[in-house]
Amino acid sequence: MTYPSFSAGDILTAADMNAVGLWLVKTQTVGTAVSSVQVTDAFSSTYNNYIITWVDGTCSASASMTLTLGASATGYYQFLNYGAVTASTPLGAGRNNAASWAWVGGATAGQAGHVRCEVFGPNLARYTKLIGGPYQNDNAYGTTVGEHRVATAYTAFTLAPDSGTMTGGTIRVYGYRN
Amino acid sequence: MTPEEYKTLYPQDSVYIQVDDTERTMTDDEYEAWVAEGVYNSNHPLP
Repeated sequence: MTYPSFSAGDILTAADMNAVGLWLVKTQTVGTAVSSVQVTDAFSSTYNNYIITWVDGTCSASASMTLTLGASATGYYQFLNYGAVTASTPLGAGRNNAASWAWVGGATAGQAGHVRCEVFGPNLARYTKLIGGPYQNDNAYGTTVGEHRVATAYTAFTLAPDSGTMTGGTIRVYGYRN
Repeated sequence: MTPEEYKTLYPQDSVYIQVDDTERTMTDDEYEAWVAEGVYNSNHPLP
């Protein structure tokens, strides 16, 4: 058969399934008025690299979404390139050994929020890379890259708005096939 | 925004910490820290 096109009744062989590059490994529904959501058993040795998304929910206030790994509250480094819709000036912001990554998503108050970022190596005992963005918060939009400079393997992560609460939507974790 | 205004918007018994499918309210210490952080971030948006 021709990848990725399949027809009804086709037999999926191991070779076919092993060619699937991205796999949904965890889904978590977000409750109402939560300050943070921790997703456990998200990362494992099955995959080295992951995509994390949150869609179809809202934030109570215009906010940047933050991400932490396990219980780690230190060692987060990051830079954000961003701009405002009202100007063409490129702007930047950094986080230097912070308690979390920020800017992995965002929301305008009462409107749909989002998270979309990649984490490379969270379940390996080495620094974890963040390939993040797009970031949005009211009139600011940007992209970000970061690193968690703690050589520890994690299985869980936490998403939280930096102000107010989040409600609804679904967090999904996808693993890139090694 | 002041901490008092923030607490009025987000009473302690109406905000939850979620772990997987389990939700709980915050302890007093957790709530005070969360309020302080939220107020700071609300008052210091990106320039």
